[in-house]
Amino acid sequence: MSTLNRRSLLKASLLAGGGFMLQYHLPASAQNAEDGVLVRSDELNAWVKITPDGQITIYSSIPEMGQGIMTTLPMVIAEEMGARWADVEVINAPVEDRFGLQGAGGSRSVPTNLEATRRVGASAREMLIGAAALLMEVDREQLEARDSEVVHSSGERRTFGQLARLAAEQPVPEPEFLTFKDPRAYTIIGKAITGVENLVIATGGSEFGIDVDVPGMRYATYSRCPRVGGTAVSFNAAEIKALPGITDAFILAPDDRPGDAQMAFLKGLPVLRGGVAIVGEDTWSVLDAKAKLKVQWDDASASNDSWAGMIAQAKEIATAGGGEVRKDSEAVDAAFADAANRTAEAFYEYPFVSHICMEPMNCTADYRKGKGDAPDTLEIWLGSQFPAQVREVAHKLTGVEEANVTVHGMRMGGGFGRRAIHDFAAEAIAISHRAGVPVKLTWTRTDDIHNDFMRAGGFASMKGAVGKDGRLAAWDQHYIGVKHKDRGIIGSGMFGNEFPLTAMDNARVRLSMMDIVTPCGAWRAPGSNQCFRGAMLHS
Amino acid sequence: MPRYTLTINNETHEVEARADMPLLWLLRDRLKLTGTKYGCGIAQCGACTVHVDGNAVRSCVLPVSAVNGKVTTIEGLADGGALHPLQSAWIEEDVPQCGYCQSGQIMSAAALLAKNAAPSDDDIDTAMAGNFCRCGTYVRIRKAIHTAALAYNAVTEKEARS
Repeated sequence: MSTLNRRSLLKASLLAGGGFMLQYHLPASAQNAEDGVLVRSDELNAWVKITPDGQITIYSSIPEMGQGIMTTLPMVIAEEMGARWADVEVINAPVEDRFGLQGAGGSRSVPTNLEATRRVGASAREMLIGAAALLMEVDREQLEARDSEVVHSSGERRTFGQLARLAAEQPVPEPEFLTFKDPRAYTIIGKAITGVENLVIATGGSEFGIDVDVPGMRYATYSRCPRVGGTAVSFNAAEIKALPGITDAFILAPDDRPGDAQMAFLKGLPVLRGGVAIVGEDTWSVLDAKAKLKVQWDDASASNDSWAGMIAQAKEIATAGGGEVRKDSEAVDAAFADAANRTAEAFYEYPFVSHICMEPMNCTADYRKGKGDAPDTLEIWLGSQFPAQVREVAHKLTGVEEANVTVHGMRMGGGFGRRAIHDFAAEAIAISHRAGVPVKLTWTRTDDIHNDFMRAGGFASMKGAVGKDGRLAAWDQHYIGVKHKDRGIIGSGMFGNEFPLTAMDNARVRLSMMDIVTPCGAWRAPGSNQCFRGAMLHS
Repeated sequence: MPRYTLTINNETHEVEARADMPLLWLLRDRLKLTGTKYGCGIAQCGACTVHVDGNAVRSCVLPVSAVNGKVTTIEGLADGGALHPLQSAWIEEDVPQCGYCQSGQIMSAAALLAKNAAPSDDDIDTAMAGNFCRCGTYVRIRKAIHTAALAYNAVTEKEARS
């Protein structure tokens, strides 16, 4: 960052017709700042645009899945600018590098983007004030931006629309000299502003990924081996292809080249699972055909995980003792042996659960073979928490250069961590690539529940002792979680500050992790959604 | 393939479709009316709720051949340029989060208000029990239905007087 000219972060430009556009200019990383190669940015990711008629457009670059970010961050920009909220139109930004990191996860959309968002708003305000100072021939200190106008202490005023052209020519303020509005003067933040897409949602006009329609598009289903890791050997192809409305059906081999960004979740698992694709003229035809599909699976090396098996194994581990000791206070056994203490004991199980977003997983992909010397291209529409990562998945599966992969990030009917993994996109991409037509792949609800990256289940064998004073005298916990071979699973295990590690003096805490194959992933506040400690304290 | 004449949002559509095709897929894939959502396909979640002659039905399990009446979808709920009072209330009370289930929620609520213009909390809970919301907007949904009921009654009284 040392070589980075901070001023380059925001770039003003004049729009045709005299508008003003302040856009984030991607900062380059230290090693390539000189040659201007643009890389990711955590902090700079939106645009604001003002046209001479006073319309203010704010681009929302962070994926919207119901957390309200499409409303929240534009509110921040509008507030710092001094805009009137009624003048603001919010537009879903395209998935492009110039918007920086377009991702939503871990409840961090606001904290990650707040500072940069405020800076954009404040920069726009200062440039509008600069323009007004020139036009009115007054000191900028006597000017204030509010209600989409710059107002002089004398009462003279100019609208943002009137100032847009000249504002674009003002220097972009150095971030260190920017001042932010006093929160007591806020007119937008802190108010109950309703969602910017409420109207389209309430009238059925909003476009989720599942609503995408592309000319010539066909509809697809995909059936994976019921046991993770299995592959399709054969299926009743003649019967399926003869069904009404079916245009194609074929086997796809698993592919384990998911792309680096997906590796954290998918290591050792194919992003594209082996299975059978059915393509047809409408969703109903392919759903009907899917129900009639008979597949010969090779599941000799597939997962043998079962919930009953895990419970049995966990109970064995709990009985045998052992495990990694995370805390072992000397007086624990004495507290349990003390007849004056009351004790409770329990073995807790908490299940594997799917995310079950209201909108089932879906993706539309349009693979086009390049004519002549033209390169192959892919256009992809999906709801994703990290849409740009799909380019890498697409490249690895089809060879299409990432620069020729266009991704459209759609509003999501829920994310909860599920839409951080792009297995469903890999399927749509592979199907379009093979079938040579644009396809919309829609998962059934059964597909969705069965093929989730689940919240890891787990177990805890617990004992507690309560003294005569009603206080917890000792706590003995053996947590039994899960892992994928040499790799931990997000949400399974214990945080270093987790109860009772730091909160109790007299405690014994042990950890054992069982090997599983079942795919797991981030599921709403990973690690914080297990209830056994609370249940034990209650007991 | 059999042909059907359907009235959807007061427009007549001549469609060719398999007799067993659920209305949901006819609306979404053929007529491109995508406001009606697919959630489960087995009438368990309510995302696909539409009206047939004013009654709330689950379009994901209603075959085209069994549609016997005028169909109204979320796209046809507004009366010309005027939003249905429920739609206004949904916006005002900021009901949607992800928004995916809300078409179905509004259609179920509209069928309720048409029959019971002043529903109690219990009436609402009963009528809306088949509509899931994964974001958990139920409290605001109930509030918006009460808000809409007030507006709905005001409109109905005005019409009765004129």
